[in-house]
Amino acid sequence: MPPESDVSAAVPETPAVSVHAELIERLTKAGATACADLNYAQTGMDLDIDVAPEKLSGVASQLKSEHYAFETMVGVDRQPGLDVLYLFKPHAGGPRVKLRTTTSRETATLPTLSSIYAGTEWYEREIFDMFGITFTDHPHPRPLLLPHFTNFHPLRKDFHGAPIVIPEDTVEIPEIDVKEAMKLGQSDTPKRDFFLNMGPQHPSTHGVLRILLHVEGERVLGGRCHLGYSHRGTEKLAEKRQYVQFLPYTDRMDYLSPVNYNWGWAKLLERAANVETTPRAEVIRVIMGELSRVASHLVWLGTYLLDLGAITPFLYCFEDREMILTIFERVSGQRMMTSYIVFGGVRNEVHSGFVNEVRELVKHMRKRMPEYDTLVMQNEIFLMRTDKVGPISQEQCKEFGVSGPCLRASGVDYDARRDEPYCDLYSQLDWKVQTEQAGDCLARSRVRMAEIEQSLNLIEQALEKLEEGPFRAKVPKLFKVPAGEYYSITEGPRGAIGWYLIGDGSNTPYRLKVRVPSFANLQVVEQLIPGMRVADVVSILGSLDVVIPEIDR
Amino acid sequence: MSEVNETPNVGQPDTELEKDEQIPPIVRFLPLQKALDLARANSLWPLTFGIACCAIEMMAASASRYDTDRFGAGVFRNSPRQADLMIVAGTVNLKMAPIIKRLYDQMPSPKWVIALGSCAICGGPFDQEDNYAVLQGVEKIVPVDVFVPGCPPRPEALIHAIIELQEKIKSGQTNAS
Repeated sequence: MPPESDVSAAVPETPAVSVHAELIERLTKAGATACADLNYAQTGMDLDIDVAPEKLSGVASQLKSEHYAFETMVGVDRQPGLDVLYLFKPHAGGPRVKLRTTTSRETATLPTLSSIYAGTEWYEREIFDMFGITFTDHPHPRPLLLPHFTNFHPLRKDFHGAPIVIPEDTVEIPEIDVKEAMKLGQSDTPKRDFFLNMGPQHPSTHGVLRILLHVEGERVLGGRCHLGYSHRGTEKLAEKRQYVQFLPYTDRMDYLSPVNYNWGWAKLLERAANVETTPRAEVIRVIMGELSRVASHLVWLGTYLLDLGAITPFLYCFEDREMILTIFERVSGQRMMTSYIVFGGVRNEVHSGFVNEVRELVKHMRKRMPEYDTLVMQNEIFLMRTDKVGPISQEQCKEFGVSGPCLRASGVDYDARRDEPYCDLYSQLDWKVQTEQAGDCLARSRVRMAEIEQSLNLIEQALEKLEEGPFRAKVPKLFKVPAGEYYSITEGPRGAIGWYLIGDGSNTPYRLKVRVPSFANLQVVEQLIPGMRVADVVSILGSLDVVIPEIDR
Repeated sequence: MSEVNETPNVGQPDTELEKDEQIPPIVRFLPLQKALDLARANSLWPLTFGIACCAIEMMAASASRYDTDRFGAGVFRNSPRQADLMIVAGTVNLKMAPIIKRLYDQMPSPKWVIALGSCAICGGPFDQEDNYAVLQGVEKIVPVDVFVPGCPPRPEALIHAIIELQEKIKSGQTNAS
């Protein structure tokens, strides 16, 4: 049974006149057919808008002119139709708009939005991989995540398994499509241009990213990212797992901040099942989440400096991170994959020495931060490698859906911890969203370093609020999510993690889409690197702090 | 993907005659071989090659607290041509598999492989019938000397694996030639 495509029908007493009436009017003028209000507290979205495929670009242009930022695209197999959903929200605050458009299984064709919101380009390629929907006039119609010889679309409901079989004659890396790659070149008459294959095995791609660079000497003319070398089919697996069983997979998507992913998943289920957590659980969540953020930023600092040629900070950072992991291990039993934040609260009570250990850690980190500042942030070589390198404009942030420190480094004051009220405690604590104006690698680095300080502040204050009480609300062990569509966003160290869930009333998701921050952040790279030197590509990549298995899922 | 579990005979005489009849070397310097094995075991050069989660634990193992340098295995090389130990740290999917095979082929003999974590051993949490993307164990494409269970394994487990591998190399029991 396909689920109800709209949850708003179940919301009692939808107001006769929408609170977003003016916006609806403008969008209807641009071509939207049906508009309905959604209950934010229940669904995480404000406005549900149906658009016919041919009117899509008109509505998107209207949204763009009103400074809406692109968030994510979700493909759904509704059996028999195929839906594509687009989520938009302005950074300055405003309703989250869901555009919905439908195509039939037979035609499976939609117009591309990449000329309006450039960030849809990769999402459209992903949807082509997963659902077989072709986007007309797409600038780069190639598979994104799956190998080029794949002949199926895994997220369609009629696909049931059969692993990819590598054809006998393609056991090598696919040849560079020179004709296609030539299009990348910015210079009209490159004289000594050639292609440089960076990755998948490369020390500075932070995993298995492959970038095909078109270079002329040391100067980069253009580049294309090739993804999918760590694609694990997590979204398909989610459809075969019960809600509680999926928790460990959330750890493994972003292994540098598993706690924040656990949190996002738990928050999504709490929103869908309308469950409140306990005050003690909220406090523990904030402490663990911020510790995880500090640990993740420390790995970023260490590896980024390793990329830029400095080995010593790596040893410092990993030692500090080990102290955090020791706390994680005592609390949850695992160093990295904690699976600690669960539906309704946290999995178990913290151990007796927890508060003292965290206090010691904060004290230690406060001593270390000036060292990092003098050792790294004021280092002349570091400044030369990062200052004015790879600036991201605010316009690009909006088009691509950049989030997290990369967004805040461009001067956009948006943080899901403050602007998406997923945890009440954050509003009660004294902290500030850190922003920089330049948007370059140095600004991104500074934002992260300032965020570590803010996280330490948050941890200290949260420790004061840790009071006795139950660590988990009374929730059923096995539960079903009511039919409907839910969206929840949490702030991870890399940016806003969005979870789009379509429940059909059973104990497994009908469709789960994770909007991962690194995906959007990495996509900007293709725009940043033309004109740079090869060494700057490494610097830019490192400053974006991407995690590849998170992108590939 | 048809020829799985086959050790490529890199660096060996490749004629059909010698392969079939398995002719031993005419002169064998056993003490020299032992000395070489001892030297190789105590100066392993791993390939910098992180795929997923386990790579972070691999990095932690080489960083300050665990310090694999103590066991002579801390010189991570970025080029496969300079490395003799491949630590497969993470989930190998079918898009990645040909590349791992190629990296392995690019390493000079003798060479060894450690499969770090459940994914590299058997697909781990992604090990199941209906997963379309993940290779169910790296052993299907390269010969593995030491398996390290865990999801992810602790750095101590990796150190233990390195010590085990050193013992194997010293006693001449590895897959590699």
